[in-house]
Amino acid sequence: MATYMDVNLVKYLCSCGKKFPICRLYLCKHCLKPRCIDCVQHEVDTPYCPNCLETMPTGEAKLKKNRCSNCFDCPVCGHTLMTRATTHTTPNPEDPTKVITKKMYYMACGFCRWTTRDVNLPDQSVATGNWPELENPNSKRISTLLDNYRAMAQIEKAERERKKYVKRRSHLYLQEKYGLPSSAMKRKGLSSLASLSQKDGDKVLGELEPSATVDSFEPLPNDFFTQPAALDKTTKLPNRLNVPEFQPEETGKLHIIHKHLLMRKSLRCKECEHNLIKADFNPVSIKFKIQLTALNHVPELRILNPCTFTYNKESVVTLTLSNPSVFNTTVTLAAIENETDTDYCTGKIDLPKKELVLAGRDEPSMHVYDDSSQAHLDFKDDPKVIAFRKANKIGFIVKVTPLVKEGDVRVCFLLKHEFRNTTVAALQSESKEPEIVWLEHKVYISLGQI
Amino acid sequence: MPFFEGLSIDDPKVIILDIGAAYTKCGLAGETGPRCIIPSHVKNARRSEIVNIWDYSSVGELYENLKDLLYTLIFRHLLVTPKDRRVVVVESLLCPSEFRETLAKVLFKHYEVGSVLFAPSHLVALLTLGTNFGLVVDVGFQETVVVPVYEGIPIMKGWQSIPLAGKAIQSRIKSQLLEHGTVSTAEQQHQAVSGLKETITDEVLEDIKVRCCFITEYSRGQQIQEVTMRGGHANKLPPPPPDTDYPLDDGSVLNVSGRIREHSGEVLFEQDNEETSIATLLLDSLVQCPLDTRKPLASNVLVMGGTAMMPGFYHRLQLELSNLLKKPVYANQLGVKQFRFHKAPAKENYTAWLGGSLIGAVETLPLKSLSRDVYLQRGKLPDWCCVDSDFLTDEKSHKP
Amino acid sequence: MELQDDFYNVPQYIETASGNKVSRQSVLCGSQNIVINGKTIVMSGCVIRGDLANVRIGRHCIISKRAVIRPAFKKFSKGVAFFPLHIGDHVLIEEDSIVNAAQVGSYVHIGKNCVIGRRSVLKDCCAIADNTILPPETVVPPFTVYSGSPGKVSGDLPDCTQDLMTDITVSYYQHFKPHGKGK
Repeated sequence: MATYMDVNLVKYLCSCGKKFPICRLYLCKHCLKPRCIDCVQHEVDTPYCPNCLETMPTGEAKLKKNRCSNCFDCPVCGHTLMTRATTHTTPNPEDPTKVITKKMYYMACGFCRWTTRDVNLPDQSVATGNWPELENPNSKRISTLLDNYRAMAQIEKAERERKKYVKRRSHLYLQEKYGLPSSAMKRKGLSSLASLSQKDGDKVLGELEPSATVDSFEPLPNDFFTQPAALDKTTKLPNRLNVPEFQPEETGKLHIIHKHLLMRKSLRCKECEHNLIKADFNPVSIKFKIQLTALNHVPELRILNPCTFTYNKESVVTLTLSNPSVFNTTVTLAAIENETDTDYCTGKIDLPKKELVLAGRDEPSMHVYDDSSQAHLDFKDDPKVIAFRKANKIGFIVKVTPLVKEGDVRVCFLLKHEFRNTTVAALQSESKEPEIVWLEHKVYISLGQI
Repeated sequence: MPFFEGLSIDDPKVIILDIGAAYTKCGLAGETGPRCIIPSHVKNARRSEIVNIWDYSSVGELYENLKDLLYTLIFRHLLVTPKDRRVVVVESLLCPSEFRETLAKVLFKHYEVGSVLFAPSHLVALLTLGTNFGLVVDVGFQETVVVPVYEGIPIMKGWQSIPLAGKAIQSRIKSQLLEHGTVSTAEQQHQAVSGLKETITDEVLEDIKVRCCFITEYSRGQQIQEVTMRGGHANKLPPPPPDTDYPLDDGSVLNVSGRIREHSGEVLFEQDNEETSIATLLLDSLVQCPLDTRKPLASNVLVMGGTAMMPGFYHRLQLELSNLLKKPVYANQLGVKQFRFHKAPAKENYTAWLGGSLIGAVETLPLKSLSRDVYLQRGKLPDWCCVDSDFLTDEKSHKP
Repeated sequence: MELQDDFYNVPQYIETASGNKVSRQSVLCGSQNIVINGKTIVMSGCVIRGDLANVRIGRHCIISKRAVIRPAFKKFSKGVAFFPLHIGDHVLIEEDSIVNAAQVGSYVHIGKNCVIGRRSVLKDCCAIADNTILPPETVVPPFTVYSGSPGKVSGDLPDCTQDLMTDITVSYYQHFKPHGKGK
């Protein structure tokens, strides 16, 4: 999509110093500065399943490890599994002549044709919710270890609290006397972890058995030497890593995987902590509660036609400016003083000296393909500067002289425009007119090649 | 919603991160396994190709790569808000300082985490066993590192490392394939592979290593080494296992001969000119340890790392060790007769992560971590290898 | 850069009252079942199978050359039924794609050479990268980019997607101009 319009040709400078095309920038209404994707805080909003599009409350998502309870993935290719129904006929135990037909469900992948029957998972009588879950055999041992360490940590914490109230002057003196080694020992990183595993001779530790050791292992089964590797029976590494706790080596042990959730993000300005983007609660909806993208507030500059350049000769280039706000906006273009990025500009640009006025954006007449419009008559346009005017867009002429013989012709300048701050003003001022603030943006354009 | 997280009964869980040379393990503290094990790659937007995180030409590039990798981990796999979270990074003791510093910078400055603890992987792995001493062997992708740990403190004198690990096995497979391998396509049977180098990508090599290869038995291994290393007669090779036809993506079939299947693993145990292999690494490490620690360490060996999951690894390692102990160079120095191995309650490729998970779940974590304010004030990370006067004076002032 | 003019041969395209520009070289089967809301461009080589079920296409859509729009079917015990296919507004479907979906939302961008599996549901504001194969019954949530085969989430779309897609489709329609008489 970006390739259709080549959005990377015109870049605006973000407040952090990096250049981005306007569609990737956000405008913070409170700091009045552009923000890019790197200078905003990302926050997790609501998790949702990409298949059933159901939102899951954050607490439940934590319990279920961000996996959907009803949707499953194929362990081989990762596509969503479909539930299919078959009918089973079993003889009626009371009356041998009649048969009971029951609908049984199994799951199959539409892409690689894997089914739950391939791994001998029995068909379920209920469509959803009854599939068996695998349990990690080590979970008990790990929870014992965890409880033990937590208990030790409690003891250590109590010790520290106690030490606070005990005089330690003599202790310090000894340390200073013996200097470097002992204090080096107490540095964070190594010995602090050691304290976790120190045997204080406490009763609690007696409950923890260290793990058992073995001194010999089973040799390789003979099959390795007599049979070729059964590639269709062995799982591939990515399939094993999809289930880190089990990592089955045979395809017969693969199990269905719960689908991982996706989430919508909300963005927040790092400096003023106000929200820049807040999506709607419903994952299907494309509306936003708060949408402060730069496209909606800053006039967008674009190149009209591709142009050819010759070294040191002036070429005429037409640029377009479109106004996103509903009010008429005045735009001034100026050269940058104290240019910090001198490497970038390889051409000299001759900007229009007068202010350019852009008509307000009028939604109903936006898509009307109509050349004649009342609004045009109100603006007296200098035909040498303004090439055309259509609804909220104007095309203006600049002259560019490349200063290099080969390579990209790039120019940069300042774009100043009016900005009506509707949020802050509405809260503060009593007058109904929204306050007009002038915003400046540095624009970097890559016009073409010589 | 972020507002309510702080008010819930459980504190927000700590993020546990283990960035390995080949795979990154990531998850939350207190859980029995990582949420995801993904390859340590990022999609470099500029060059639009997939590049390994450890392959960087400048610190700026590493910063961007780490930022992208952490973005994928945090927002695609963990689904948590990173601000003010605690993070535990399980890292090797030999991690380059540049990498650590850049990782800390990305975490603190860009993602604004609350605190970070850099935990040495060999040390936390022992937490999974319930002991505080052991000889920890990490057979990863890039290298094998052995660190003895006694009373919860790594014995720095005894660390050993050797670049014989997953990567070496893959190189061995590649060179053998280029020498004698053949590819069969629909048109032509048994073309030499050397003409089609591009078909042998890293993914193909990894898959061959995982699915077709294995670590052969000790006696066979000795016979193989006799022929390949000391130039014995090819007749003396034990009969190889059968060949396997490995289908490639474009429809052609790569013939993985039995020789490749069996001999590739030998690279870990061949004692080349310097007479070093993974087994000698363990013994050399013990030799450097104090006398009284040697026996307890030898009775508590923990092997971890993805390459240790190859079939036949443990059996071979154990036999190699017992045979090497008989050699005069070790028999005289070490008083050890036998090695005993632990089995961690986790698969070897995430044992270190599990150790991190255990330490992350403990309440005293905040006291050991480096908090954001301290980092921003100081601008540097504390490290075991730098004796920085800054940290020492601060320690004294921190004492209550 | 603004879109450049794309010229077409006047006799080759039919322009309807509501502003649709349909190529004479496209195959519209069952045209009484096909409803195109207005200002849509259907280029040469397209196949729209209205004979199987109702096809409704929204405003300002662009269906590029050789794309195939085919309603999906569902097997019942008593036979086969075809789902009507609804495509929303401002949708861009690029060349050589095959769309068998049950529903395509608005502001969607489908890349070149894609295969959208049968009964898939593409919600608003999503994108399908070039050469993707979406298996049957895939649901594509808003603001995601799917790619690969089988199609999986590979990225996110920016929040201003709706405006961008509106702009592209409207500009494209405005720049799709007749050539003049003949070539």
